[in-house]
Amino acid sequence: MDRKWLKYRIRDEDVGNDGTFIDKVYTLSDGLEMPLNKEACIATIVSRPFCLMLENTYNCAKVRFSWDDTKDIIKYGILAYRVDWDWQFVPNHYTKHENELYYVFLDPAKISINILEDVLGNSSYKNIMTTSLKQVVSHNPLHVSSDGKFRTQPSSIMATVAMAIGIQEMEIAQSVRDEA
Amino acid sequence: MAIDAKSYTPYSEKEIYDLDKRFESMFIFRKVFSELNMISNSDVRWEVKIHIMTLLEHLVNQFEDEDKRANANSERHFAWAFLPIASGWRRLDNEDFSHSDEGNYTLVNPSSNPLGSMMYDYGQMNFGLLDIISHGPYGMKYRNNYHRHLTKMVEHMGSQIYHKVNTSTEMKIFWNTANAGLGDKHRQEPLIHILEALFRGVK
Repeated sequence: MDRKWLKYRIRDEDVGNDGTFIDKVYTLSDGLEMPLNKEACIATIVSRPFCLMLENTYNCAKVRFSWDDTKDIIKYGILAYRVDWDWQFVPNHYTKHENELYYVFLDPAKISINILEDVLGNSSYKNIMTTSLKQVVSHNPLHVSSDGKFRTQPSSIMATVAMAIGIQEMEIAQSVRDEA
Repeated sequence: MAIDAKSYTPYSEKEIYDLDKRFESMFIFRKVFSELNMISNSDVRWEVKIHIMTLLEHLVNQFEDEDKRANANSERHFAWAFLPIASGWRRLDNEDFSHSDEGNYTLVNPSSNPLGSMMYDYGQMNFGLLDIISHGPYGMKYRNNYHRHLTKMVEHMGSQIYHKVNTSTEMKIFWNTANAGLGDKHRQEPLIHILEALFRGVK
């Protein structure tokens, strides 16, 4: 009996270089899904429950969502923002920076140390199996500790950037190394 | 005439002058206590202002004490981990906190560990302020050893926050980004006034 009459073909764009299927959504711990294509992703991040800003100014921080910097990392649940920071009270204050990348974790508890190393390029977690991680990080020296790890403690600059992005409660999570 | 408790400051002019000098000699920020003392109560609540001044006074006293100990003994380095602020914070653990249905953490018995409690009260503001002080007035390239010790102390204390209060993997931990965690989102950020006071002398 011939049961091969119905055929299907996988579109090339759905298959990654390693031959596996490419996910079309990133699934958060609570089951929420973040689409991985530009239009749907942007529509989702500005909607409930995320309600994040695409562009905004709050006190000294001016933030812009950057799809160019996000498109390769959204599959890990990471959004990228470009941030300008200028404290008008002290002209050319040492904290001033422009077009700096800040990363927002949609679900910080799902971010492994491997992702910090391999995706965000932070090589300071060598031999570390667990670490604390806050929801927004940046490679700017203001936001990394003496040993190069992303800082965990509350920071006035990071709080202002987070407010500009639309994050009023900054999650602190535990990140573990994925040994698999 | 009745004393207005809200305009009263527990510091005399002489004490403020003395603290200004000692703070500047370590952290290079000028007239910090004078400037903090002059912030209007409508910009920063009186109790917040006094809390910050008391915290910075403890910081200066403890750094000086530790500096003297380190100088008196050539084999002993400046040990920021032994400063009472850091050790008080380190002693806080899960059992010291209770949490409400609204998700707020409170210290069960603050008087049992005054310095740990001092760092926890208005904690986001404390961390934000100490973080900026630890960078020095001119940025990280121009820090002295006191700034560096403070940096390590603040980083170390910050890295412990998650483990102090989290007893369950199902529980998420957050800190409020709005209004330095003081709750009133409609007020102007008090930390802005405090940071302006910190930097006014070095502008």
